[in-house]
Amino acid sequence: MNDEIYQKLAQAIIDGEPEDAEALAQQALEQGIDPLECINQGLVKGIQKVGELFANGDYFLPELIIGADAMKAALDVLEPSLLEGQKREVVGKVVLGTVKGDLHEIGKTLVGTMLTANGFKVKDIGVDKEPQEFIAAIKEMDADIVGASALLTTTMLQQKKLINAIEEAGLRDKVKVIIGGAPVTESFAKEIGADGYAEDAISAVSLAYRLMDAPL
Amino acid sequence: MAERPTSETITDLVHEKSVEILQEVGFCVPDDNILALLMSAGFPVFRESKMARITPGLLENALMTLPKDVRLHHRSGELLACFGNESCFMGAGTPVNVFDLNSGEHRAATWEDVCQLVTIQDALPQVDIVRPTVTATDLGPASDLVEIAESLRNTSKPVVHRTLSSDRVEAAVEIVFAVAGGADAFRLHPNFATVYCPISPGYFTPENIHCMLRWAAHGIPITLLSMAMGGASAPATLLGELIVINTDILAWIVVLQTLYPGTPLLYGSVSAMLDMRTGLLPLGAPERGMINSGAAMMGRYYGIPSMCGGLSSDAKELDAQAGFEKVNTAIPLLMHGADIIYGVGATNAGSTISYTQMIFDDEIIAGVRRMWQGIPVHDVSEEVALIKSLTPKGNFMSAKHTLRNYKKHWYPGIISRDTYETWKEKGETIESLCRRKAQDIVANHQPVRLSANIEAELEYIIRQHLPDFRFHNR
Repeated sequence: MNDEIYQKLAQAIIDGEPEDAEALAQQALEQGIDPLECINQGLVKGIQKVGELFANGDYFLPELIIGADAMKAALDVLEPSLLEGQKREVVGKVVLGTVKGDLHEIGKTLVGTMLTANGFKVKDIGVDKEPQEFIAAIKEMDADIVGASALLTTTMLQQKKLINAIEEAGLRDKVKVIIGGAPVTESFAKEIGADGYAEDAISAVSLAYRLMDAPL
Repeated sequence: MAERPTSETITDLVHEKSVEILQEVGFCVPDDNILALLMSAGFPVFRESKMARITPGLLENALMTLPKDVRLHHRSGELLACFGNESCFMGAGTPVNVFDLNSGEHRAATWEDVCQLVTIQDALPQVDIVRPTVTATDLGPASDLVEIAESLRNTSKPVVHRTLSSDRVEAAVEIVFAVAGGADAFRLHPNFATVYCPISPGYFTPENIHCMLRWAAHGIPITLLSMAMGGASAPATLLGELIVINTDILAWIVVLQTLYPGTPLLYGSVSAMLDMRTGLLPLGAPERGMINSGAAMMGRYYGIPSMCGGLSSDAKELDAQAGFEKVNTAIPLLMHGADIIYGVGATNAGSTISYTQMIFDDEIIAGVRRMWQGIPVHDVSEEVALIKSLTPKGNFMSAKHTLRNYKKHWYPGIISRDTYETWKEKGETIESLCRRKAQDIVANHQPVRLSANIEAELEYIIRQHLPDFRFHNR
């Protein structure tokens, strides 16, 4: 009986049906099924399968994104109902945002989706964010990694300002800084003292795993 | 062959749907003062959401005052003859990276690269319009002024560039006017156009809006350049993406014509379709040329010149991929009569400028321009007489007719037509030939210089933003 609902939850993610996933999660709670088991046996299995299909080239980004959306819809129902002491296992916690003066959203959001689909807990603070807003989110979440995006040649220098501000806030030892965006390069990342750079959303995942010392 | 939709079917539909979107949803103007300005000009304005809409009356007036005779000129005032008659080719730009002239190393672009890349574009016969092509990353934020000045002094061809801050527009305009010999002389024979991009769908940053309004106040031609990404910032169909492109551009045609009637505008698109395997934006894809040919159609529909991203490539070196993609992304633009094809020198999905690619692009353009002439129809009485006299088994090589006509065919400057043995003996690659030619131009080409007075004036203007600025080779 429970297996059936786990399987349906997984399938809703594989098929990319956020509304189905949400309804199934609701149904599971009503039937008194352990929410953590729904997450681990249903959602995680589903998103792993999506990841596998993506790695094999059967799925492209749209399937991955809508799969992650379906997972999020179900998590939003299940997580508040976790019992005292129960916690969803995550690889790491990540704060993401686009730096001050830059309004570009899509690349950063894609990185967030990829990380979520690969087991990270992601807090996306949005675009045009001051270093202090990044720092507040890092503290609030107790983040392991902070990712700063810049698409413009004029705003990439804000990534350096963010790193300086994190140092001044005394958080530099606690949080890894990764940067990305079209004009950003590996050498620029080194120059400004970032912990990592990835040229696209997919390599951002392996970078984040590497920084967490977790096996991919 | 299968029947293709006529471009009228496409343009009518796209215009109609854009108007529908602009009347029902509108576009975002994230600046209260400008929203107020639009409201007093008659735009329906929604202060909460910072949205503005157009009305049929505003649209009609805007399309009436929109200049239909935009032309570009050389610095000397001479008309850019090809403009409006055939597709003109323009330098790409402006990324922050370059493949080094000598070593080929991928590195940050500098002020010196701007000077060299402009000099090369000045020398290349197939490049009609020049861009700095790279950002001078060694100069800081005010590099845009130096990029404009170095472009105008290292070539006499028309130049396209922009400032990134509205605080520098006045200085940029002073530079442009100083080179042209004053505002009136410039407006008579404009040799410069600027360029600004929306964030699709329906958004321009406040900074870009302020920049555009300042340029418009001086009557300087502005290119509204869409950078839509199909599947991300626009629908994933070509027609759907074209509606986003057109809606974003039409909104600002109406705004700029309402606030500054008669401002010369160009219709631009460097859009592409997202690669859903990686989330990267491939510029060498067939869809790149296809979508931007839509901008050529829409530009013609509104009667203004089009600037279309093509002659593009995702290749990292001068290889088979580069050759294939460069040509493949130019063909739809030639086919639909783009006024400007925008891409000379760019490679690596537009993220890097390559000296060798720039040289080879000149060769590609010469070849496709020749191919595009098709079979001209003319009086063939001489040919027919010749055929009759030489039939059977005659040789046309000694005929005067051959002597007069063979030079109309294309002769490559770089491509090898050698036999295998000769080619092997020479030991040259396309890469090595292009590199040597680029080095040779940089060492020897002398662009027509500005007078010492004007150069001193440009330095003075730039110094207000970059203290102690001096041109290197005055």
